[in-house]
Amino acid sequence: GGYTQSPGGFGSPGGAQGEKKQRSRSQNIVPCTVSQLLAAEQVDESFRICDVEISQVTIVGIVRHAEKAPTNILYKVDDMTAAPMDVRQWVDTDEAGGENVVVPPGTYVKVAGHLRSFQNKKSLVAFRIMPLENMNEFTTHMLEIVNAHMILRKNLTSASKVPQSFSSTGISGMGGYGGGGSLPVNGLTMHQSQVLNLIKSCHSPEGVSLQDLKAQLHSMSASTIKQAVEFLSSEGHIYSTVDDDHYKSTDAD
Amino acid sequence: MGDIHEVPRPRIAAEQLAQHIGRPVCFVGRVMKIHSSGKIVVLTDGLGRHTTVELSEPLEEEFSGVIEVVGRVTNQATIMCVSYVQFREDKSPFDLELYNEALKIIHDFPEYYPFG
Repeated sequence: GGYTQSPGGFGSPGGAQGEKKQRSRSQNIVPCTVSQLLAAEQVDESFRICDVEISQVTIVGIVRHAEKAPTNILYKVDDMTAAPMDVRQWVDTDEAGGENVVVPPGTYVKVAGHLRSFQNKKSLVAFRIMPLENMNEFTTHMLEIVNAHMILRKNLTSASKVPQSFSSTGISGMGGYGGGGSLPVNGLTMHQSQVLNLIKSCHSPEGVSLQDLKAQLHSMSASTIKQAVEFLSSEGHIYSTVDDDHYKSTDAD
Repeated sequence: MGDIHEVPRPRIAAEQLAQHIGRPVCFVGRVMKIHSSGKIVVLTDGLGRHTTVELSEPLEEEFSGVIEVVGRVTNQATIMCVSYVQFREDKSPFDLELYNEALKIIHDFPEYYPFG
């Protein structure tokens, strides 16, 4: 068939769908240590930590240094695993007030951002920097790092070698991370599991639509459902069928 | 503040001090006793074990919170502190026992939580 080499597409020659899968995979936010980020290898446009692809990450650390410039604030955030990491936060020059407040050194923060490398120096471009109000979040972050990297690496070794490629409509056994009784079920949140179970239970050829999901999952908002669908899709549990609003499970019988 | 903040500082519990003599570490504990100078303090970790720390700056007398110390372990398995921060507990108390559990996990899985 014509789909065999497609990296992520189903139903299209692989161009647009492949890109979409690529983008949704890197929409996962992975908790990391600074040492992991410094050790990440750059492969074309993306980064890998022990073969796990990362783009958006969170770190938790203490601000050692803060420097305000007209268009950005440069922080150095230290989580004890290595030297402090440069974290840049772009400032909206049109907006006065809240956005431009500099977090003082000595504050513990959680940073969410994109990993960047320039002239071999790694840094983060932050889209969110939040001072921790409850220091137990810092403990939780340590545990989340171990958990996330363990699951992500195990998924790589136990899954089939071409995770996002579905070679034909008839074969469901080749499904990415969802098949074979590997870890993923334990890695899903309650919302993700509910959405996945609903999609699995559907036997029609075009699959379940986002509208169907909204109608049946009253407790979940549209955006929660959409986020769950994007996560499940990027992990290989589900794939889109006639359009981006319809999904089937890779595990369906 | 010196070079110690540019290198990895493993997070350890009191029972690991002996294995890190001479090395930079990061230690979190609750203040149990403060010497009159304010600079020698005894901290307790999540397992209730005591560690003596010589601070870089004196602590105020009445302080009984949690501090995170960066410093070097001395030959006597105490810590010579280079810098420390107080953990805020104004909104929620810090669960030191949970932190000790987390330490066990990161020490059991250094491949997922590397220092350096």
